[in-house]
Amino acid sequence: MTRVAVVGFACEVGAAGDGRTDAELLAPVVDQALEFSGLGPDDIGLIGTASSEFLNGVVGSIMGAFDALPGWPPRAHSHLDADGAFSLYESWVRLMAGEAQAALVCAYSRPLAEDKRSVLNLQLDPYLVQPLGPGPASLAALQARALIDSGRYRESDFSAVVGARRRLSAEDVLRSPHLASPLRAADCSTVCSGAAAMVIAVDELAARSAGRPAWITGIGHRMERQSLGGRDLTRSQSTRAVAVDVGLSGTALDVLEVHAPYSHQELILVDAMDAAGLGVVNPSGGALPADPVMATGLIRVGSAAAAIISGQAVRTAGHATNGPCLQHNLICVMAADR
Amino acid sequence: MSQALRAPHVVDFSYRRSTGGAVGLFLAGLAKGELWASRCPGGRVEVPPLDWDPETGAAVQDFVRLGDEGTVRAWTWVSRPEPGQPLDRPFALALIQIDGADTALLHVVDAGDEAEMAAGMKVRADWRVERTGSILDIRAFVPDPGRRGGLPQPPPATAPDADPPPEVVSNARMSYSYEPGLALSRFLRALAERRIEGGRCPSCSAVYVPPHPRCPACRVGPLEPVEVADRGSVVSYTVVHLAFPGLTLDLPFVSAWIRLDGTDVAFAHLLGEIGPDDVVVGQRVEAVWVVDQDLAPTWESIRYFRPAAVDGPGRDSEGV
Repeated sequence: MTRVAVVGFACEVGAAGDGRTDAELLAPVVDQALEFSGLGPDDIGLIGTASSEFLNGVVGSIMGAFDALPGWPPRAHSHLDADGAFSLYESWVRLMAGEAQAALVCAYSRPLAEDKRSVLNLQLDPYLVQPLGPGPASLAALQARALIDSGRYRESDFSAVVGARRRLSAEDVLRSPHLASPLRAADCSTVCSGAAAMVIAVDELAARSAGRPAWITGIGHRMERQSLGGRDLTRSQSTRAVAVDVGLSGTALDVLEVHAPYSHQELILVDAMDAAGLGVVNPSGGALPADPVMATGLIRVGSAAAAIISGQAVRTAGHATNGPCLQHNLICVMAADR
Repeated sequence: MSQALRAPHVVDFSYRRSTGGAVGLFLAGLAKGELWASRCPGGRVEVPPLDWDPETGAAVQDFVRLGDEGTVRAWTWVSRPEPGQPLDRPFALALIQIDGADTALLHVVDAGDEAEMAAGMKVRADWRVERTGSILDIRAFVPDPGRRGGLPQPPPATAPDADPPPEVVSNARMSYSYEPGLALSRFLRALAERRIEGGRCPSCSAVYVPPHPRCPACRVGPLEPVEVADRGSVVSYTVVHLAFPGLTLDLPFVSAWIRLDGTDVAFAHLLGEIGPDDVVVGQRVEAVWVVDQDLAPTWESIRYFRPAAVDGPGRDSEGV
């Protein structure tokens, strides 16, 4: 059976608005990912990209990113309005189906909207939820409050996550004011611009790559119902189901990278994964200190892969989420050949 | 990075959405001051109602009216309401389980103070007098501490008339700070100086107007800035007969693909001072610039291209 490995990864996250376009952000990252993999542009048989045109306000903005991609002679190309990790899933399926020997997966983000709340509100049910104008932090705060009321966690547990990811003192975090109680500004990810590129390849081509291939042993995603009042917000049923699908439940990891844009969501997700051993969680810092929306999940999977490629870890997993209150979740489990 | 331009940019994603089925029925109920739920074949009661049972996928045909009282299941405090939110003073955003329902409805609680809020508190809907078939027909839920709880008496149950179903208007007008990027900023700044600056690929030597961050064919970049003439040839054209916002020429006019001399890629611009019947492919054209005080970092610094009078340098062709 065909096996697919992550063989190259690079990303850049930075403050919003340094003036570069999507292509100008992406091009050096694509170069680095290819160089890291040891494969050349001619090896790439298909391209997957992901971004959100609602975030940068430019309809058809993917066309501007073509200059950064190995686009000539033309390749099969698929673009998603979603996190890049879901584009990775699609590219993995297509490599498994024999469409190509290697794929380049890219995601990029420039949050140019003046009111990010109104942009993210467009993800919500337009009939009964959007008119209330709830905002993403308030919806996450509802979830956080429900988690506290469940008795499983306290605000100090949220602050411990913030302290670890942002390298702050948890006590200082607890002393800062609420943004949407029980969440503080530091509990919510810092949205920024960024780009990520990943090279995946099959069998012999992966074995010829420059580093140690991070073989994908399981990848999958599941989505829950849209209605926030129709699911238990304190538990991630979709993550639990995917963790079983991809063979994460009950196994031990060296590194786990979790895509949690809010501190309490890391606790919900890690509980749902039900791993026998988590290893080091979010050594990259996770989504809190730098959240280039639409690239953040791909960066989690890529960081987990890079730990194998560089020889630091044997078995890792990366997670990505999409939608309000962890509606849609993806897990990619990777391992080195022993 | 200080050379990069930025400009305000507004996008309107507004839609009028038709409703129908369970959502249409629910909204029609709200217009009457009633809350309606769907009852799945397995007995699960959903507010807001659904057309299909999320557990089995079976179609839902059973809709029931509930009272307007419920229990807060989850909440957060919005201490600084923003424009577009339902209340202009601090309120709670909450998931409210209407008595008799198995799921919760997202709405707001007008509780006055965060200290009044708690999971499990009893609330009731405060209806607007003027109702239109919108989730905002409920002004807010309000604390209802005197209530003893328990299921209310089943109210009279004649399903609301949802024909035609209410429409939902989504006004999504968003402001952006548009950034054209480093390569394009340089090109636009040159236009403000009555110059056209292309980019030459250091690998294949192709010259692009406007310049790209990298050569799309070779992936090599950045391109080398190269000054190009403001005259060239028509590669192809079309005649525009339909009016649209932002028109600067009288109808009908010619929109043309123009390749400037010494460049390899054509761009779209307007043709002026020539009738649609007189244009030919290969037509020699030159830029007509706006007057000096109107020069700005935009393509509109060139009003249009016109037939080149004399086939020589066209840099001195002032705007009319």
